[in-house]
Amino acid sequence: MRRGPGIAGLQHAARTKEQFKLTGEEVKKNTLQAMHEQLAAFRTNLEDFARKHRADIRRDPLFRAQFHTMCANIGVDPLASNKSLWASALGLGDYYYELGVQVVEACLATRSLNGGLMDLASLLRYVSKRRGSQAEPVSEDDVVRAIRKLRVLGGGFDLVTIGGRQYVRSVPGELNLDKNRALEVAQGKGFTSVAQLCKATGWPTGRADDVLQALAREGIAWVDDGAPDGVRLYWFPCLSGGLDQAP
Amino acid sequence: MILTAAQLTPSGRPVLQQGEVEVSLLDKVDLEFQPVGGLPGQQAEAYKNGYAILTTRRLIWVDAGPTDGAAASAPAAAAPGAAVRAASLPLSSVVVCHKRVQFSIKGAKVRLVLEVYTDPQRQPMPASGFHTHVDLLALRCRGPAPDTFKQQLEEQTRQAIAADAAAAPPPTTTAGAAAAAAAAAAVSASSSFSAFAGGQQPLPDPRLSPLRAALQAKLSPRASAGSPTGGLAGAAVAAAATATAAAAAAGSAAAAAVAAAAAAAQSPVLEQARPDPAMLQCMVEMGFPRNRAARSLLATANLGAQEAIDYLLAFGDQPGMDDPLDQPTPGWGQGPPPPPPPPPVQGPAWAAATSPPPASSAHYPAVLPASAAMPGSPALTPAAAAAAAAAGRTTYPSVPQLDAAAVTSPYGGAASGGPSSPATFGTGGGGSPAAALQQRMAALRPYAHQYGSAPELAGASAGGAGGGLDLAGLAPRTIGVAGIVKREQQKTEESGRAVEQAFRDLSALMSSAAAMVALAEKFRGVMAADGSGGGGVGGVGGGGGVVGGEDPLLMDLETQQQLISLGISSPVTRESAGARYHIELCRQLADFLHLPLQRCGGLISLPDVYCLFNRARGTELVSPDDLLQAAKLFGRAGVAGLRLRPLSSGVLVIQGPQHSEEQVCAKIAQLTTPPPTTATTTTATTTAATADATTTTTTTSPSAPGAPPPPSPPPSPPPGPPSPPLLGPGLTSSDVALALGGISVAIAAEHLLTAEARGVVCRDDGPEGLRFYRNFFVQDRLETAALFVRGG
Repeated sequence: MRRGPGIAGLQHAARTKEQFKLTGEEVKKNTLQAMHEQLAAFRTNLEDFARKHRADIRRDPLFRAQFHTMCANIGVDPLASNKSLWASALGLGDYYYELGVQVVEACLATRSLNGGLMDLASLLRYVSKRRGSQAEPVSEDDVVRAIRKLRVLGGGFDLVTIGGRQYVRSVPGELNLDKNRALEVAQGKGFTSVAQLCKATGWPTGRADDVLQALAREGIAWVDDGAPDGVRLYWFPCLSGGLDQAP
Repeated sequence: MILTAAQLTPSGRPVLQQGEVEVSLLDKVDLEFQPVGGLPGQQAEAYKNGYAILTTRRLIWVDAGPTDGAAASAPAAAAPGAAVRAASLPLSSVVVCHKRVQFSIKGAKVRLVLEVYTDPQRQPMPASGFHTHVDLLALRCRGPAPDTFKQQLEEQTRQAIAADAAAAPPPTTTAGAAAAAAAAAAVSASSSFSAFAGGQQPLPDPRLSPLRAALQAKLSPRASAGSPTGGLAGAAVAAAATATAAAAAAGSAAAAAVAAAAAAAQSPVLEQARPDPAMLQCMVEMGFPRNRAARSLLATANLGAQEAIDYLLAFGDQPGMDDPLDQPTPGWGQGPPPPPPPPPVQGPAWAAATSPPPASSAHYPAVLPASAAMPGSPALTPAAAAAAAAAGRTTYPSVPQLDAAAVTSPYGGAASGGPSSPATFGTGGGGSPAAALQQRMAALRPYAHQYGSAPELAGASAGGAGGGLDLAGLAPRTIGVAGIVKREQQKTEESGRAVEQAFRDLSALMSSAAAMVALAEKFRGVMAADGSGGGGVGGVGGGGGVVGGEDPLLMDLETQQQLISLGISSPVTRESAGARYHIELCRQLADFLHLPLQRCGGLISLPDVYCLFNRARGTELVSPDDLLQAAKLFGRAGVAGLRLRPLSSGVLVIQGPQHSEEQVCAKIAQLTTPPPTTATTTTATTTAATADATTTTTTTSPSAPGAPPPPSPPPSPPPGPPSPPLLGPGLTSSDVALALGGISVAIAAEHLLTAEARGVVCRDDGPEGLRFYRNFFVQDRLETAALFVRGG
């Protein structure tokens, strides 16, 4: 860069610098965009291969390791095979086991958010997203069957029905009737407060407060003190319609 | 024979090297040495009672130890660890493997006898060296039949030798080496001849090192059908003859002619094959890496340092640019192994790579029909042979072949006009060489620049501007900011094309897997950086500002990082572990769980293990039943510290060595004791036998075990005041979860219940929920009688 004399030179230098910066950002943006497109292509291809050539991939130990690294880096699920006839008829084969892995993974990933209680519908969403766009769609029934297959591993996983909807509970423990009722009340909006709960159930304030605090302690409910009217709200991330879709 | 010790993980599985993968396992194997042998310091005639693991690089023998047999008391025995031995033998030193069966009254004794190259110190050494000693090592198989194991052993040995040879530094360019190369060509030719003559003479051992091959070449031709030997010209003639033999064997000479023609047509320009030393020196002095500089010079045909630097800046970060020039690209192919080390490249040979007369090979009759069916017969491709014939004084490497299927073809010089290293391709025994050549070239395209084929890159980036050496159209001419921008574009285009190429079919992906892995890692790195940057600007939403719309990474970065770091590169499978499947699985599980257990406080529920373990294993799914069975074997497999146990709620958890009930209870007790500032009482109660100030505490404290409670002191004033200081803080399960380092609340609740059962804490199930307080009944040795008195 040529350095001119005086103030004009300084200004010139500043302008040049600015322009370089702009160009650099432009280049960076373009590169990033191209890379996103490539990544998408890469992922689709990888999903395709994982599904179609699984047996071949498994046969070669060295390539298997490399393939696994690729999948892990790109975020492709190597366990997304399609349901075979045997699997749908008799529950044989690896299909439900694979689905089991994905179900547990979904629960693990969201556990810190929802305290180990997950709506079946959002679980299904997560699982289908993880399996990629190429894989066959998964039905709720499949997920339920996959969870049943996990029973061998002890009672850690369970289906709970609250107010006509099904939830998957991935941490040990029981929901008592009161907690069930509270969740039921909150089901529509994703949150509730002591007053609302009292109104809906006819409980005394103490009982409602008790239940909600217990839920908060278990990590299922989140306390929100920032409501405009100053009433403490309890949010339930596990209820779809709650935090899931808030942002 | 002196073997090297193999490292074992705490659970007793061999520690694998980077890139090493387990292939097979043979149960119940004894190692028998011919005289004596074994690990240094532990030599014996035989190592008994173990099992053999075959990896892609080594044969590892592991002492099964006493724990494997039966007894439940085993874990204690395994603890010392010194007794567990493991010896490893590098596969690249194995000459050959025989199966010997010895019949006797008691039954058959089955042995796999390995011949192993050793040096004078009787240590195994790679097959590519100079050998004088061969030792015998027998694997006495008491268990299942070793046939498949033997097959795999041979296959892996072949690959290991080839890989080893490819990795070895090429010998320096001397006249002696050149002579060796020529002699090697001669031996390959002569052996073909002899096979042609009658097929009686045993073929040279396919695993001979080049030097040995050279030695043998001096001897064998005279004994055989009098094939031409000696001078370079003779070697070339012989090579040509061999090539025709190969072509004939492949079924049609026409196909060979086509291949040669195709190869010739691809050669655009004659190039000087050596980087100009002066310019190279200049570039190295400017600070560019030597190999890159050399490749750039070659790619730009020594046009000038400026061009080379432009090229270097544009394509310098491609994979393979840093490989030394004299080495072949390591192939990731599944099929044929890479070739043994190519004899050094000779200068004059490159210049002479004119397009050969294809007809010349067609003139020869089909002399060797049996060649393709005969494993181990060395053969050259027609292209190479034709080039050799045309050059007349070529020293093209025609190395002794390892495999019938692998055919060496130094076609690079003809194909891309650049300096070439020999590339191998598999003809599958009888396939058409032309097809194979084309296939291989397609696979190589992503690496094209390694062969200095600037034309291809330039042509593609300029929108298919023909195949010529179109350097003028190459972007690097543009310098400055515009040049940088353009280079960036080209780089991204390049990787996009590489992705397209690699995913055409599985074999293409396999051959360029390493490059794709690197690309995937790059993607992840960029996305991670992008994600954090975008999050800062655009808020929480994953897709803010990103073009893709949908967030590219489904999982949060931390989870993904974990998945990658925990990845098991060599998962135990039913095929690889056979009868020891569950034990080996159990050990792998134990090794794997070390980290996750640390993260979640030493207790992890089985469904979580199922998910994590399977994710780490990639495509090798373990069913829940197998996992459960493996987890039950912790004791038998001699894994110290881990244990499968049901919690009181019936949930199965795996408990690590970090977690002991005593420790947790001690921690809980510590949490429940009141802090020392307010807790005059705790200290007071212990020393309270002496008279103390406050009357209320004295009523509870003189509860020395022997002394009967004071008959009935007048009902002490109010029972309230003393309790708060006595009680200390109440714990909820979430407090414990926090205090124990962020374990899950449910498990913390389990801990509290355990502590309650042990009498450490007492529960208070009040309106605030379940809280636990310190158990002053036990800790203060408070007598129930006294309490009743106090309460009443």
